[in-house]
Amino acid sequence: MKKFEWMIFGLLILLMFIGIISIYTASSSRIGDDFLFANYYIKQFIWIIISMLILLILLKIPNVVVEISIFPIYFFTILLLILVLFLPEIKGSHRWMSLGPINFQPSELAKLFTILVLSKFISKPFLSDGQILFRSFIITLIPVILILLEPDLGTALIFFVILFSILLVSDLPKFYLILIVSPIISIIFSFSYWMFIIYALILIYLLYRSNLDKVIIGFVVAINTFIFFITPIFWNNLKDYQQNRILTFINPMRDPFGAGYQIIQSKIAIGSGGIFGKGFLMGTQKNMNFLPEHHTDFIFSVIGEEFGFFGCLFILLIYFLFLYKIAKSIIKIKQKEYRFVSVGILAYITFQIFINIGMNLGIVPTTGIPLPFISYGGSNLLINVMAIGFILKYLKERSIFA
Amino acid sequence: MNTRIKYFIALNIIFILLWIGYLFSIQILDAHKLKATVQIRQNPSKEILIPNRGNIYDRDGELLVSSVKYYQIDVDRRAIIDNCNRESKLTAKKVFNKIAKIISDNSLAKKDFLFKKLTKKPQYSSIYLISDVSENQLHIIKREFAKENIKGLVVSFSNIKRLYPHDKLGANFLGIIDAEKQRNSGNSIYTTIGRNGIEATYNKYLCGEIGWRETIYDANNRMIPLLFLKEKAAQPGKSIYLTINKEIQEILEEKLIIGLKKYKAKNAIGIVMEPNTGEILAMAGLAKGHEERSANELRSVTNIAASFMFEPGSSLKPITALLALEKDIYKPPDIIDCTDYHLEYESEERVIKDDHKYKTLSFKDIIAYSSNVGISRIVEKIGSKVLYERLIAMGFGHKTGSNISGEASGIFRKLKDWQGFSLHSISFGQEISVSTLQLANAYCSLANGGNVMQPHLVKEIRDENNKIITSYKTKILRKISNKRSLDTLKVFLKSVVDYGTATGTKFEHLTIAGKTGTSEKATSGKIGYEEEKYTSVFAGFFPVKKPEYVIVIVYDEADYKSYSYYASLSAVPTFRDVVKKIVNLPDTDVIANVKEDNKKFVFAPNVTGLQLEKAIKILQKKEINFIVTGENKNGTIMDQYPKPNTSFDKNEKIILNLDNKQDTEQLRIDVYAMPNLIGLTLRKAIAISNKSSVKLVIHGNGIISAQSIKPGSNIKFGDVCTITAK
Repeated sequence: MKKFEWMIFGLLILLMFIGIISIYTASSSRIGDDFLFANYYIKQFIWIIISMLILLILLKIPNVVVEISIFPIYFFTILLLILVLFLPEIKGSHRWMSLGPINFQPSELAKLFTILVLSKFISKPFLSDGQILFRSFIITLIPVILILLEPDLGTALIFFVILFSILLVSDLPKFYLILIVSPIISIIFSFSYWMFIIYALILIYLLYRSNLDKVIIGFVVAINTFIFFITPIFWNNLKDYQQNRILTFINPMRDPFGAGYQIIQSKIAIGSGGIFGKGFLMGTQKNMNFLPEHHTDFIFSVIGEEFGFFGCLFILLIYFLFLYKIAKSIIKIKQKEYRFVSVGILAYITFQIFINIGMNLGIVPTTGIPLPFISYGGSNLLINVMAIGFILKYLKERSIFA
Repeated sequence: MNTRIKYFIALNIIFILLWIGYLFSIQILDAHKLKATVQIRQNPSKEILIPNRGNIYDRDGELLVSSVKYYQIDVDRRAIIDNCNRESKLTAKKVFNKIAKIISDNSLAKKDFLFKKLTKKPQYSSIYLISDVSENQLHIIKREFAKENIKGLVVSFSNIKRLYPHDKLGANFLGIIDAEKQRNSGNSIYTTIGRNGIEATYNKYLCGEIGWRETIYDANNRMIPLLFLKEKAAQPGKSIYLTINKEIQEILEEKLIIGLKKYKAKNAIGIVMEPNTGEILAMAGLAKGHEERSANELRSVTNIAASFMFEPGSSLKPITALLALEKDIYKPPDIIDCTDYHLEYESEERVIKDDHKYKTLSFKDIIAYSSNVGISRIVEKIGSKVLYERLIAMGFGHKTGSNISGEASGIFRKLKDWQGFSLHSISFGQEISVSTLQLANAYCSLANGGNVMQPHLVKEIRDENNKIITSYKTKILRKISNKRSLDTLKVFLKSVVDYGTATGTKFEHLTIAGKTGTSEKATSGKIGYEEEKYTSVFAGFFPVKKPEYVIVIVYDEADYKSYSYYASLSAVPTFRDVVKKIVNLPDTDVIANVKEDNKKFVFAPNVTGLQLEKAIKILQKKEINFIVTGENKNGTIMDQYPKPNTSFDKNEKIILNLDNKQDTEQLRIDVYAMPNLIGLTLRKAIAISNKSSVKLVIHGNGIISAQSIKPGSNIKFGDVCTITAK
């Protein structure tokens, strides 16, 4: 049995500690010389304790038990995703389930178990390419459709990242990935004839090189052509406000008082922090409520405002070390299923980190994705810690199966 | 696999470098710009505090003008939507509906209108709702918002509106206010400024002092109370106490409105002054169509009582007479030739004539009957220089110093510009234009023993604690003449009322002195006079012995056909009406002062509303003499003066007025004539009495032989009539 990955665990604890400090300052507000504190940091601390306990349990229970329970939990999660659609709206969407004092997002759970189930099903031996594609699409699409109904575009996007990353490391020929991505690129390029022609030429060349089944190639060409023709028609048939909504999602600055408001405020907060920041508890943007959601999705801007450029560098460094460590370790996992799981988890944690920071910097659309391990939020923290827990578990146990 | 992990790490590094680069650009390169943005929004901004405008009162503290502050309400919909998301009890739509209801309940705005505004997209912004919410309404709205726990109410000052409890009263001198733009850190805010009248002249006292307050708002537009923020409170405007007596002003305006219509005049002007202090007790200048015009329009036009200029005509004669008396040129009984006076000057000829031809008149009667010829002959002996200097001394040809906005200085030519017949013309009030105020002030000096006063309209200025800041003292500008001459002149002027041209204003118990004046209107821009256009003036004062009131009534272009242009047929009756009402005011002690030497003061019994017979009985019992005026001798007494419970001299007569026209119209509703019941059967009598308003008390049985209320006399609802039947 190999040693426990203390480095990864230590960085995890450090990130959560940074989280506690950030939430403490983010949930304080200064009026004159008085500070008012919301008790979010205490709640977060309790959640960290709970997460650690669950992590401990996860590491201790035999792998067999985990193997058996994965699919039933995935199925249960799907049920929860259906159920949540029929619950009353919270903050304008059906994302949350209220469990007494805590609000819980089933989609959080779905992310983790989709990774686990997907890895399990496509790592079976002797699967044809078609089978892999079919299984992975079915397993991913069910939660994605349910989550899009909530609606929660940001989380749905994460599923595609997970799918893409797992397929990338799977045995599937890489050309299939083009197949997955090409319709999306087609949509983007369909607005310009010249761009589309160049793109189409590249696509045809790649498909020609791929040695794929002619039926599949024909299908891809047909799909992309269809998308090319249908997208402008579809776009022009949208009402002005619908077009505006989409354009505002892509570029929030179009609407500085609506969708762009948070981003502008966040950018002002980070920028006004300067090199060294305004100091612990001294952020004025958050004190005066200019920064919305500053203890959850926009906590990075609080860090940026109070700790400045160097504070941000430090956070990025910790994250990089953390991700680097995990990525390095994953190479050591020899079992296909576990590797897939680890890659999926790594991709999804990474994606969240960069999207959230990008959102705080005002480059990425606001999608409601929190900063892993630092943002306030119990269920998100728990799932993220559990995800890391799986990696740690597989790393710990890899020697047995290797 | 290994390479893929390397790709992954490389991708991570690329992203991290990208983010670091972006962080570098905003935190280091753009930091100063973004810091400045924060500074602007989080540094205290100076908010201007608007003071309330001062009130205007009459001399007794009766409120004439006050002001109300109005506020603007905006709603921060972001705060509401955020709050709804947080609490999740209500949808934002329901909250908007509640807001619309609260505000529509407490203002003039319609609920649907407000709701439509509140739900207008994009909903994530602040929205303006209404701007005319008074302080009281605002208080209720704030309370309701707090009760419903709705956030996002943003209140700001909107404007100040003036309130006039007495509507058009004093519109000519009060003036009107306007809004003046003030700079307030980007937003423009408006303070008040007087445009004319008292509002303009005393604006610096009324407007108060603007204050300011440093404020910091959070993102929800809530003010953050920080200790270091400085504040300077707004100083409310000072209150102006006028010399105007609201009661007299009411009387004057009421009577002038009647006169304006009755005499079909273009303008009707009246001024009541206190001759001993120069205080203006009432001042009204009404133009044709006064009643149709809005109060604000009336307030915005110039005060014609001070600005309208006219030739005073005969009302200027007393000044020549006064000079003659001073120089002992004539004695009052001296007889002067009053036949047509042919003048010759440098081959020009002029004949001075009177409308009524007199062969000779005594000096006194020249004033009493207003003879142009007589006064022309007298003025020749006085000379131009003396007359000119006296007129200047009495305030003609220049402003009175009253500080009334829009005051005219009149037109009075310099002595060197006088022409051949100027002396004669000016002696009977031609070739000179005066304002009503100048004329009134001149008569004040005749009445008070030769002191030319500075007329004034403002008595004192008080601050918000009712502490007097400035009070305008009586100021004697010049002294003229001597007591002996003035006393004699007073007798002359009294004779005008006693038997001269103004007998229409003669009172039984009150001595009045005055002078009429009817002058042709000078054609504007040309030499000569307009046909059928006259100015009718009566200037007088009372009581003669110790004058307390100087009243000048002027009608401009009174009707020619009905002879209303004669001062004696227009200005004099109005003068009389005004005097009558003034002496009847409860706190006027004119009548008591008329004969100080007579010690038999009694209180007037209240006989108003009584049957004449009953009243006579009461008065006989108290041995008070009386005069009955009005035609309906059997009727009820509608008015009396002295008024009930006023002390008056028992030797004087109490006047019982039976037909006060205005009052009867009012009373007609419940006044009926008593039916004649004598000779009827009881049954018929009861049937008739049921139709009328009288109650019957029946004695006996059969045919009615007597009734306690005489047939035909006025009865009020509920009066009891005792009938005797045999």
